[in-house]
Amino acid sequence: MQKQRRDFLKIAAAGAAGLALARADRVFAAWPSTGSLAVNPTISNMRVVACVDPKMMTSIPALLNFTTENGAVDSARVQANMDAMAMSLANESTADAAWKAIFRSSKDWAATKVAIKVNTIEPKNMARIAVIEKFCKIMAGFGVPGANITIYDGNTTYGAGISNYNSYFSLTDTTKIQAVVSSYNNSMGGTAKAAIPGGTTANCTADIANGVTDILINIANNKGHTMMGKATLSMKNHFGTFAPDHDNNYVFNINKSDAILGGTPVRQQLCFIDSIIANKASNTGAPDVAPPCYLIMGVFAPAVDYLTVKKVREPVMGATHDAATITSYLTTFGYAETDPVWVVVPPASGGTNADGGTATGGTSGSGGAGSGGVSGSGGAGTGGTSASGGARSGGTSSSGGAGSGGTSASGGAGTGGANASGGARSGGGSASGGAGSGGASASGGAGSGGANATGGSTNGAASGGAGAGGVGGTATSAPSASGGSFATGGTSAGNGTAGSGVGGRTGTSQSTGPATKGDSGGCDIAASGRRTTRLGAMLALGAVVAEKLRRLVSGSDRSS
Amino acid sequence: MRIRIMRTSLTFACLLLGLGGPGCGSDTTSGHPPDGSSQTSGTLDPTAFGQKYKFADNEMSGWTQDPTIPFWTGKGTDLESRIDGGNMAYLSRGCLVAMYQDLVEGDQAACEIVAMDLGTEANAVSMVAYEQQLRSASIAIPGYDASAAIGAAIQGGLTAYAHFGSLYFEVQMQGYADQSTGASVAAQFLQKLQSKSK
Repeated sequence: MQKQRRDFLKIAAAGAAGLALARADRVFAAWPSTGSLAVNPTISNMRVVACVDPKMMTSIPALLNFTTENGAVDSARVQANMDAMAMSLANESTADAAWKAIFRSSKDWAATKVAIKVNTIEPKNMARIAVIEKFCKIMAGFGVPGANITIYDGNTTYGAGISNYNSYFSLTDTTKIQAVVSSYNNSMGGTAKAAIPGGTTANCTADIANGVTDILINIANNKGHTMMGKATLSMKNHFGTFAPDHDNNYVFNINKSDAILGGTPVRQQLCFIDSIIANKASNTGAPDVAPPCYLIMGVFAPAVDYLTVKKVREPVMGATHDAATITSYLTTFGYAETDPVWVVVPPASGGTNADGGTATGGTSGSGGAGSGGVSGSGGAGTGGTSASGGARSGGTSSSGGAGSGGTSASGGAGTGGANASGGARSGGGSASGGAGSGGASASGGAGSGGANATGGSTNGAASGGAGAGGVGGTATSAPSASGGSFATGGTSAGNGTAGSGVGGRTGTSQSTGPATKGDSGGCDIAASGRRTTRLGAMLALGAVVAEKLRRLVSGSDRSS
Repeated sequence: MRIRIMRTSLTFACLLLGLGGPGCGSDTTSGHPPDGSSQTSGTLDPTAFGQKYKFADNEMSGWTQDPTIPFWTGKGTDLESRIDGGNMAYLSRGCLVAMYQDLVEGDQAACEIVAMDLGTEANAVSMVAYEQQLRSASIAIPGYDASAAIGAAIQGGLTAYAHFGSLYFEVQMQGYADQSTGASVAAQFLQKLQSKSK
């Protein structure tokens, strides 16, 4: 998070690295040797947004190829999800405002050139038409003419698969998507030498190298590989912008280059991974896992790639990677593994998100209405061991949204979580913030039902909200007990007031001041002063009377 | 005398055939030639290698060349142009020549054939073992010992990995909701490939 806050352009560092100074029309700035470069002034490099929605595919064809896959995709649903993701990424309340925050141009939109990099080595897993179409619609809405939008994969050895897109795009047929599909680099100015960090140059798509392209959209696919820690995602997608060289450092360097990160504003403005369909083990061949049905995007490729590995490829697809290399996705750019932020948004149409569909008893569920999953995040998960965000229930750990039933819930309105924090939770083992209920531990907000409700540290009487069975706050100025199984009074003087706890035992006063039992219920007698309460006296009397009656009946009592 | 000459000639013939791959008395189910030879298939010219293992239209009834994916042959050092960085797994195991062919059965099913000469039987065995571990392959291929051919599930089918001497094959079947059917069809392709290798 610290690194996230420090994202800003360091001209001094750039100068020290020997990079070009600002020019009248544009600034070329590769990734600085120290510090960082904010790709977007209002969106953190480290923020990555995802949406998982199995309903983006209306069916899963037994035969997966370019035609059947695109035929099975629900384009409207995909594009609505992309709008929802944009709003989350840009923290905007409308899709229009969000896309305008993400995509910026220093020119009139009518003069702006847009390039969309796709990966075409394997036709069985290429960017879906619906995704590309959405970006073309966005640009058209800004006023970018179709002739200024080019889809390309410049790799001369395996970029032939791009021809699969030809029939979907046209500049003359208004029934088709208005954009240009480039055969290799033919519509992108050919190739030119581009400088990359380390003092070398490499062949690069000319319009990218020369800054003719104003906005670069990187659409990668989710596939395995022998290099880059066993994954090929956004960063390696620039084989085809740059000539390939199977060296990990080369991949990092081209992603630090002026060609990719130069320009004002920065040229590559969005990295998108179409993980509706994915390859687990390799970068070619038929997909070897069930469609994950994820869309993932962010402004900074290393963060997008890192979290795709950690949040999708490993837990959802069961892929394994070289951990050190995956870590280097971030550390090579000066970030730490704790810096990226993963946000899962529910499907725009209101459907439920679930990792692995609506599986019950799954090992790992994230988002949506996962049931019985070990780990759930986002959406309305149920029964997961760990649920975060969205509206979840039954998870062991839930955060955000309205989690319920989880062991641990945080944020939102968690219910039933063992640990609920934030939002309104109930039934959890531990609830904090919001209106948690039933948690084992509830803190803040109006926790209820938690085994331990902590009302925060306050002066005076502390109350664990409307907690039932919670521990009660740690009042600093008063020994107070509130409800809960174990109500702990404050550490300081003053009379503590029990909350409206039900069934809890009375707290134990710490220093001065009497502890007062809760309004109702309660099993134990206040320990302070060891004084007998009325109830205790009545119970004792009742016991004596009962014994007396017993003796009379049995005839063993001769006292009368 | 005649019998002695015939016996000698027959032995010599078997030796010659043995040098070229599965020879006299070879057990087709194991894929191992009787003398354990590990020599190459003898066809190191990519074009000739491709022509040897390429399937003609309807050679397997109902199966024809996929018009959207070009037939490809090349030396091992050319593999990068076909499969990018995935080439390293094969190159590190001595790939000399390779062929990729994609077939379709109408619009119902698809098959990708990969044929390679890895130089030695040990390399081919290693390649199958690598794929088996990488993809958790455990699907039995009818008519073959698991040591000779094994299948791994993919979405809508399976890929069979097999070796016969120094030859290495992949047969990827798609469009089979019933995996056992896919495995049976893969076995038929492997049998045909094995016969082409003789």
